[in-house]
Amino acid sequence: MNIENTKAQMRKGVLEFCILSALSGKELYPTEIIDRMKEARLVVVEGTLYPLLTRLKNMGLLTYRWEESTSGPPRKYYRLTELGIQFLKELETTWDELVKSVQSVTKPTSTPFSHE
Amino acid sequence: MNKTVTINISGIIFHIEEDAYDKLSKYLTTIKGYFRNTEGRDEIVSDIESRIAEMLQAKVSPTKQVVMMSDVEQVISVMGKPEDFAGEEGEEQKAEAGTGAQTEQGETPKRHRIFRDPDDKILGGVCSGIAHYFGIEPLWLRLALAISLFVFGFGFLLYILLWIIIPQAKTTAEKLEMKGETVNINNIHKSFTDEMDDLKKKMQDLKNNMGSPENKDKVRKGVGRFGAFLEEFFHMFGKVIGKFFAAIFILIGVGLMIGLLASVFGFHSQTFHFGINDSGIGYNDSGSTHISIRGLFHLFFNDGQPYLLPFITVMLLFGVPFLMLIYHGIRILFGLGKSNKAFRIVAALLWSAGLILSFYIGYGVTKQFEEKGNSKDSQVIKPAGNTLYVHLSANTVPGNDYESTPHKNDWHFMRLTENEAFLGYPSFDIVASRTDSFEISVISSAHGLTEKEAMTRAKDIHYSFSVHDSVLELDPGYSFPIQDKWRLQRVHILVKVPRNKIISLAKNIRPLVHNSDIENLQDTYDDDMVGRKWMMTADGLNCVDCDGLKHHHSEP
Repeated sequence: MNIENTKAQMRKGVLEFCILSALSGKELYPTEIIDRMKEARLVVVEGTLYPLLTRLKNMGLLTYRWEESTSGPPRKYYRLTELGIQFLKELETTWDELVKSVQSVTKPTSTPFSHE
Repeated sequence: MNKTVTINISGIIFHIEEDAYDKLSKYLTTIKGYFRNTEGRDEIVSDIESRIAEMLQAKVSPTKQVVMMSDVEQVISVMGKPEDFAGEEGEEQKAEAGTGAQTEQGETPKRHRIFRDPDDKILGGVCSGIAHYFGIEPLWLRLALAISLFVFGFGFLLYILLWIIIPQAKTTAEKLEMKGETVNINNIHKSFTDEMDDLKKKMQDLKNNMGSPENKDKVRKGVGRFGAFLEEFFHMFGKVIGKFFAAIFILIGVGLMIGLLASVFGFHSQTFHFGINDSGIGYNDSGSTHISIRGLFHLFFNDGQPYLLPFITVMLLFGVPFLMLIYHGIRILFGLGKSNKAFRIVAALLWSAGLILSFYIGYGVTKQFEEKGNSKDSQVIKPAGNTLYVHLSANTVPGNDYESTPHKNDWHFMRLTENEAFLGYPSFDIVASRTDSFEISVISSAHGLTEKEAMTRAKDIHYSFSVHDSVLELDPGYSFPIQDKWRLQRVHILVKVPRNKIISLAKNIRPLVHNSDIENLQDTYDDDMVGRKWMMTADGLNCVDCDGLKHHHSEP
């Protein structure tokens, strides 16, 4: 178990959440999503994203529509479904809780128990 | 100057350098293989292709129209190799990524091929290679091979053949392929159902595409896909059929080869039983069906001449085609690609040599039959009454069972013992006697290189009959010493019947009179003459007890 693997595992956990977040309130096509993720250094290679998008779509969290492109093949524009929006909300709550918990474990001095 | 090819990715046309194309196509194959077990594989792959098309399009311009190696490499590094995808999917997927990583860019991961194992070998690594392919312990195959060595050395031939056919695993990739997923019924079933699912999905897609008025392009693409699908389907179908026949080839080849080896190297058979009739040599339908080639040779070729040459001839003439049958069967079954040219040439040469040898030997043998010689032996028979009764003696040939088994009449029998060959049946004829007594003549004939040799052989033929008063008992067969060799030895029995005397033919001499064409006034078939009494008249043989038997009519 090397460090890269551990990092990848950590990123993997939050990637779905980040994709859903990126799509919150807007329509994006994969390249745009990838750009956002790359910017945030969440993905290293693009190939990672496609199976994930397909899975989220199959889970009913995402849907897409085709749009002709002037500069290439037709693009799939993804957006959240109703289920996706709910799912995202739950994930956001979980995420907040998780951040707090993780911080309480990793930085106990800055958030002492007595503080509560 | 570089050669370019034109490709179509997600409906966009690219001109791409050939080596770059190879790399890209291998990459896509790897990806397909990686997502093999992932739900929605086709969709993922087509999304990825679409993205690749987009990236490549950004790399070409009116001034740089061709996609080059560096472009493809860049695209691949952005998209990532399947092993880089690891971590995004479940544990199972990760395990697969491992294989993907090892096979490196190119080769479909998990492709499973047969190789000889250079790391675990006793001779050529054939057994361990095959064991890897079927996922069994090499020890069992080695054991089986050792046993098969005793089946007339067949295992040895097979091993050499496999050694030639199966390539050795040289690279790491090949070694991995060699140890890839084991081939068993489950896998075959799985890959088959995978293909069927694929097929169903493609049909569904096609239907959807046709139905939606979205755009005509897609319909066209769908039709194209359907064509590609049909092509794939027939390809796969052809492959299955091909493998089926390949397996049958192997089975037949192995069977024939073992049969051949058994007959050449097998033990001298005492129950050697076959027939020679006018149309050639064949099995007696009631006798044993085992023919020892060695026995035949012993009977056929002169002792001074070693059998080695005829042996080699038979092995070459029959063995080579049988081995080729096995060879091509194995080649097709394991998908080993083109056949070995050297092997083909050697096989063709060996077979031709066999053919030439067979002509040479055939010529020599023909000469051995050139001259004919006869030997005649007569005896006067004086029965008490007017009638001579003729019948076949009981078993006089050692261990013979011809009396109890219904022979087809036109089949002769042959039986070999240590020193003698027994042949049956003699031919039989009835003619008018010029004297007033019965007479039997036994005319033996044989062939040979010279007339003298043929006559000596004819004299060597032993045929016995016995006369007890008015009963003539004929033996069903005759014999000759094996060292005389088979040179068309024959025995003809001629019974002379005086005027107004009667000859009574027992039913059991039917095999002797069959095909003899004995002249008689009733013009009866020979088969119908037995079991009846015949009187020699001035005009010829006349039936005494044939009431109701008309010309050319058989018994009711």
